[in-house]
Amino acid sequence: MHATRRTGHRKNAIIASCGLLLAVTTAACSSGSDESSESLAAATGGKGSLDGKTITFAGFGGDLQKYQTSAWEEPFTTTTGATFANAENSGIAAIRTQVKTGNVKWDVVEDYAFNIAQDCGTLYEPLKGVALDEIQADYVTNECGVPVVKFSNVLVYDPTKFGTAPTKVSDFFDTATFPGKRAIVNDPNSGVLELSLISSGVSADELYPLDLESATSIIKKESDSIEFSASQAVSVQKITSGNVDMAVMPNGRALAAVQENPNLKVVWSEAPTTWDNLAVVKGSKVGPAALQWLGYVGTAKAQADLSTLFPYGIFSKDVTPTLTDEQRQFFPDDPSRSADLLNLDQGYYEKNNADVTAAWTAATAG
Amino acid sequence: MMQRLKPDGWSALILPFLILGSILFLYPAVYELTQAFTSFTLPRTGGLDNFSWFFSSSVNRTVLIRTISVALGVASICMVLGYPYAYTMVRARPAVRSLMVAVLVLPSLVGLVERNFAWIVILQRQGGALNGLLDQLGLGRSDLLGSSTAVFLGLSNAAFPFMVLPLYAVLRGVDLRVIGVACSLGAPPWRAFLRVYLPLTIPGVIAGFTLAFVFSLGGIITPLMLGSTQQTLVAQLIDIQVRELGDFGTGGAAALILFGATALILGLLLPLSRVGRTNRGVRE
Repeated sequence: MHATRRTGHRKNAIIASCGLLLAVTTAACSSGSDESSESLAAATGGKGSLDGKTITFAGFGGDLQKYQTSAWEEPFTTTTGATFANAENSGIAAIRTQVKTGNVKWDVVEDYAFNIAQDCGTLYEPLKGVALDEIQADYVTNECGVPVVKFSNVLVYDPTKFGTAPTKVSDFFDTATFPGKRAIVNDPNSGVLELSLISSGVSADELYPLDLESATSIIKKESDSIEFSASQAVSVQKITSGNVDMAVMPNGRALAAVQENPNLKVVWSEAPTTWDNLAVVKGSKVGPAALQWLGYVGTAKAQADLSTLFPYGIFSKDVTPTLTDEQRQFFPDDPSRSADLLNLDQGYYEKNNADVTAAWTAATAG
Repeated sequence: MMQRLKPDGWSALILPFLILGSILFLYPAVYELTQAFTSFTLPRTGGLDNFSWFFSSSVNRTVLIRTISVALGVASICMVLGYPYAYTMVRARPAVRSLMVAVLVLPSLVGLVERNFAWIVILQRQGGALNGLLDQLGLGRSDLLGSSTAVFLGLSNAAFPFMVLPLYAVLRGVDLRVIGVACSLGAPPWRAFLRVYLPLTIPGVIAGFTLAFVFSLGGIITPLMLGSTQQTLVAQLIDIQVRELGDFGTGGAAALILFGATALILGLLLPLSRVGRTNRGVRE
């Protein structure tokens, strides 16, 4: 859901940013080496080659986009001369209208990977001439999007409220062992359906295609204990203020929650993990320049640069970002947990998201 | 009776409004509504498929009925609370009246999102002002946030000025001496109010009720922030269809259905306002 995603990112780590600033400067110094900027200049056609081009990037706004500006836009401007204008992606309806009327204002947009895949070729340009060879093949799910911003929906809980501690994210649905109020964002793409099925005994490798009927009946059955938040910010507010005893939220939001209330604990086991794509909107007037930029965003260096600003996961094995101890605890690709995450099946959502949304609305709004 | 306006040179002054209104409101609204008949996403292919989509889902029907009931409820709450408020404004000294207008209007200067956050702070279970008070009184904490009570509170709060201001405008125009006259002719005060004053103010009640009703019909932020998913209203359904799924057709159909239901209800209210006008005729 765009609304929930945006609010989530906007309010991301206002507190975090202060603490991270120091880490950021240190990390930037240690990772910004001469050889990478040379290879970047070569890959992008050389200094000043895109002078006069302005790429409008519609992301999720807020802190995420600020981090993206310094990790992805500024280095590209230095090497090519292309400048950037930043906007907020207000949703598929706006993109569809821009393409339909031939009045494309956003050259590059960020959205869930499966959403980009769904409209690849109709609303988004195929990535012609963009080599994604530094990204693990598993994450390249369509021909239009560059995988970015991998995040996991983790379980945050208040240990004082439970005799035994929850050990996996799907314990969210185990109200018998862990009674009490719990919060999750009102969004069927948060992994909530997968979690409900896992809690009923379905093994992780047999989840897809999702059994929507049984997933929604579990959610309905437990709905007295669940508060569906209007945004991730509301989930954070509910868990830090003690209005709920546990909550499922993206790892970045969990970092913000723990910084506000250090008593909270985080569970990562089988955390539903998903990611975004950046894609060029069909009919963009700076298409070739935008594609070149996406090529840069897809490099291991650019991915690692963003994760040092904020612990979003990356898609390359070839690079280890320099993270602080605190960031490492919230980084999906940390070796201690990366194998234990549950990647959402982007192909399934690409084909079935309308049905998923309808089933979700029927289960929660009825 | 009011004279009908005859078109003359001054009528041209309305042109800027007509032009702006057509471009900024009428065209987009009509465009989106026509999408209901022209834009289809599989498995819907043509004809009235978008409308059968709406009515084939029991959730959509539930949400439509809920939306209308909530809007009628909110408008009724505003009417019951707003009438004495507007009447007091008419009778009050100018200083008090200014204060009452300020109390009414100033909160609207704060955005709806912020006002709803204020309600969250008041209503939430832990750290909420109201729950703290209940706890102090020994009544125990209760889950107000996420309930339909919270949605009614939030919507009524936001719709209240829309009820009071038009009502006040009408009340102010009624000559208060009519009550005195009725009493001097032997009517007890309650009858003077019910038979003389109230009928004269019906047009204001209808105007305020209509505004508060229509305002609540489009509610999206308040139920989202103060309610749980069980308080979802039609505007949220339209939002999901259009903004998240990019399906303009079903969104347009839902909007048109809400529009039709609203027109029907307002049509039913019309005869009531005629009652008021007839009484006003009697007065003249």
